Amino acid sequence: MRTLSRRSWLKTLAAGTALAPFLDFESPAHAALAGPAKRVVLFCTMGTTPSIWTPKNVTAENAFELAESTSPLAAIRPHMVMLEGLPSGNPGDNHGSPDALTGLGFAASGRPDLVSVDQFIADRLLAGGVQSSVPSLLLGAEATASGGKTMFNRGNNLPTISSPLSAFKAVFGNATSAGAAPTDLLLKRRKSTLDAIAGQIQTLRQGVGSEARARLDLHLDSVRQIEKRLSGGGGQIAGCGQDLGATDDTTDVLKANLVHLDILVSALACNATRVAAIQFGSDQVLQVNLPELELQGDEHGLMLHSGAGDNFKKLTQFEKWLSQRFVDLVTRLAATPDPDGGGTLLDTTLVVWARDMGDGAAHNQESMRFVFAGSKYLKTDPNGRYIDFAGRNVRHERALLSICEAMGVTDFNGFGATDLGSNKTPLSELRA
Amino acid sequence: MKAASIFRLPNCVPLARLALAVALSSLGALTSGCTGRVLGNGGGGALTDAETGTSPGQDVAGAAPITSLPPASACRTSSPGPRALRRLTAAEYSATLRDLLGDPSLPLTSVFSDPTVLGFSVDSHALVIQGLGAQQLMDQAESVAHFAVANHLAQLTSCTSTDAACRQTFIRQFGKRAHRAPLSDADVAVYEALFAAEASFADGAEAVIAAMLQSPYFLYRRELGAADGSGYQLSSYELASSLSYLLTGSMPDAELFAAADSGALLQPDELGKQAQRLLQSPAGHRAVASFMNDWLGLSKLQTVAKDDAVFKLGDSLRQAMAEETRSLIESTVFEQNGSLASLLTTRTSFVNQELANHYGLKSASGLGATLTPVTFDPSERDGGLLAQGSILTAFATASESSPVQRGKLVRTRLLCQPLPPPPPNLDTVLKPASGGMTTREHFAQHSTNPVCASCHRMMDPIGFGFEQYDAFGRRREQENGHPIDASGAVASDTGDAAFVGLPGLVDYLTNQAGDEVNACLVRYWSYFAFGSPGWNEDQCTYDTISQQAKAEGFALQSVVKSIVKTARFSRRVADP
Repeated sequence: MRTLSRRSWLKTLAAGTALAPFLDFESPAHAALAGPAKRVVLFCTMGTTPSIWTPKNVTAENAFELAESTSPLAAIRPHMVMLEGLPSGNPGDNHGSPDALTGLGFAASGRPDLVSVDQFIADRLLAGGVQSSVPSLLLGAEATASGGKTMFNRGNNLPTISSPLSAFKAVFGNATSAGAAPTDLLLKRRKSTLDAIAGQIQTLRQGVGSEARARLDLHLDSVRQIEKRLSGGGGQIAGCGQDLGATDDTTDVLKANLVHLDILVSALACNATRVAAIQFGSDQVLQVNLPELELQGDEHGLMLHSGAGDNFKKLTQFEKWLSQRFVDLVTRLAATPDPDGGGTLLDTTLVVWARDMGDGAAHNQESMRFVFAGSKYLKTDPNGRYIDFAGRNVRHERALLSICEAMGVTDFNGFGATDLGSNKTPLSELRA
Repeated sequence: MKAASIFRLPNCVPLARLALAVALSSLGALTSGCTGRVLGNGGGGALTDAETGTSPGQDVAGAAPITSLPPASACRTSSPGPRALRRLTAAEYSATLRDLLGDPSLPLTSVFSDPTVLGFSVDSHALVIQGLGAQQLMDQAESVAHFAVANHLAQLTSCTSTDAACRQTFIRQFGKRAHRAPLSDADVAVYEALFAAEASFADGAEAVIAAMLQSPYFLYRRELGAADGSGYQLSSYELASSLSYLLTGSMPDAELFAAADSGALLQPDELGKQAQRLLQSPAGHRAVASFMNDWLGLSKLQTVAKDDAVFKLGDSLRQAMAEETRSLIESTVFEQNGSLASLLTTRTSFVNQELANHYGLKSASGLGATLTPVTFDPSERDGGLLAQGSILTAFATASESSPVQRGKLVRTRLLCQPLPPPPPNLDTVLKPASGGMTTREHFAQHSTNPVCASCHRMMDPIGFGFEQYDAFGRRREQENGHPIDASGAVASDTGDAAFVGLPGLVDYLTNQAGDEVNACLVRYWSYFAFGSPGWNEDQCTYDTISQQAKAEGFALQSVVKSIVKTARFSRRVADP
């Protein structure tokens, strides 16, 4: 881990090169990245139960029947690949394990090398010279409210932005048609203010111990990200973005998350970020309030654990609702032009539905389940694809490596477990 | 089973526990597992410094997340622990903005999503500004500054001319309250430059307020102090902040600032007087309630899912339960100056007619919607905290009482004995109850399976003592036609303590285990106060708090007042 002095940071900024927080300049990944996917979106939900998820009547990889809970995915069959049977390296790790997106289990919590795939890719993109106004956008209304964790980590667990209003302002506050575009005077004021704040953090930093110093370094880095945005260094399209009606209300976490999804798509369309994620619920709880479906209460406690009696009827209905949201996301990306020109956002965005536990009822990571969709990286079929890796002992971390590869990140040093050896490779089955 | 190569562990296998214990100990959060060992208190569970593997001046937990309070040191030498920098929590941040600008209805956006550690959001290690955090803070600071200047400028400054004298007066006066300490000359110069770049006083003030609200001196509470040979003495302003955030959840008020200005706050007598004053204020009452809420997990009542097919728990009843417990705590702490023992044993409570009906109190009539003090007849209902509808409902499943959750509450929150989370690879779902089974018989699966029993013997037998109350806090004499058996036991290394029903459990907790329970309260309140789950050589601090509180009958108020008197509150040692 290495940080730059303020002076050298400004010098480099002036030279027009964006720098990642904590990037390692000696890394071979510094080379320019050229992945088929330019953006990645992680759609994160709680573990389900296999009996309602696994496709039925599977006769071939492209011949299968979707279960009721995933039936909405039929609308995006030509774009999607469903995966299961991928054990994690810590298959019994239960709630709150960072495993799903890091490849590392409980024991790695708090370790500096614990990094989730979203953060790893964000760092590598910046190191590779791919500028981004918002290096990673992590959204979700409930993750920490009820004492839970998110699936995102950088040493420690990373919170998501809970308030849709705060998220909207943070992404579009500097340049939006909805809010007033900053005047030169305001821009100048902001720059001077951030200089002053950065100076105070540096001064304070000198008088504290190492643990507080590390936290102040993160704060300083966060301030410098604003400075970069103000300098137009991130490539965000000026004036792009519309008023999404975001409010501060997170009482209904699902409603708030729908606004977060609007913000997320908008952020991609305006080229504000290349790494975005949304989390539904936390590792412990997801409060569902969908009166139109007669669904109310905690997904995990009520629908999953108390659901066996009626064959998970409520869970199935709720998972079906989630599937439709995933489909909506993919469909909207397919209808949105790529800000870099050419095709649509879906052509260049890899969307991945990931879960903290493969089997939420049994609390384990024995068979991790994913749905991949979009981007020209993915090998697709008009009928969709379903790959069951069961019995082949293929670690789920390799699906995460596929996400990296899609984004042009092929040096996996610093990510995931160290015991994969020659198997530390992406899943060839996913590559077009 | 899909992944044939993975060895599937049956329920509650010890191997899995071992893996978890290894995982936890490698985090530095040493667990005593399911052994009933007490954390610290000089008992058999205390670990030596060598065992905790920490260096002087270091927090025990370090930066790793914790799942239980780490064991305290043995009390050989006392250390006030390392210096600290504590970001304001989400609640402190909002309260401070409103107090700073003197506007209780100041429009604010939620900026922080604070992680919860052990049910609290106070852990300084976990309160970080990163990623888009500074951007969110900038957006909020600009909005608030704009609003403040448009609506409150006259209250925020004594002059509005653009000359240097007026500018400086404003910067020093407002800045001192924003930084919660006088500004250094260097900081005044920084803010002056921002002000000078603007065209009018209002614009200058707006720019300066926005900057101050993004300043680390606003966003972080400093407990750094100045070296004085034997360690670090916190400044009077740092003390004022510590006191104010502990006892009011917000920034110091004018009187506390005055005590810091004069240096009087450095005198133990004045510190005690100010503590007493703040504790009695409305904000002081709220701060105590906030601690109790997090310690006992009371907010769980608001989100716990309930099965309408068993009983339709409406909002008004849920709120009456919450209000009953708030009133009981308020009355015990502030009107009776009572102890935790009195909170656990009192037969007085507060009900409205709806709650009285729910509880089946035959003599209660015409109470209306407002909560009224009542004394429970033991034949109708047990008194005390553990028999509150709020706790019984929150610590239950959607349809059944939960001996596990109720037992765990007592074990971890009242006895401070850590229980690891369910082991890896465990299907924690009990086999469905067969017809006519009681909850007790249903949960017997945990004791008949020896691997489950190793941990569940620490929880379920305590929880069985609550069996006279169902998942909605209703008293019951029978379940599915069988008489209720509320006999329970508190298991420990030195033998099981048998009891019957909540009165028996409360008798155990307030007599036989009275010292442990009070020590546990001290431990959690210290965590709440210090934002640190422990530090090297911390036990003597807890012992000092306990001794002082004991001299005042362990009144709940005396616990927090004793915390303020410790060396930890006003002094520190060097940190790495």
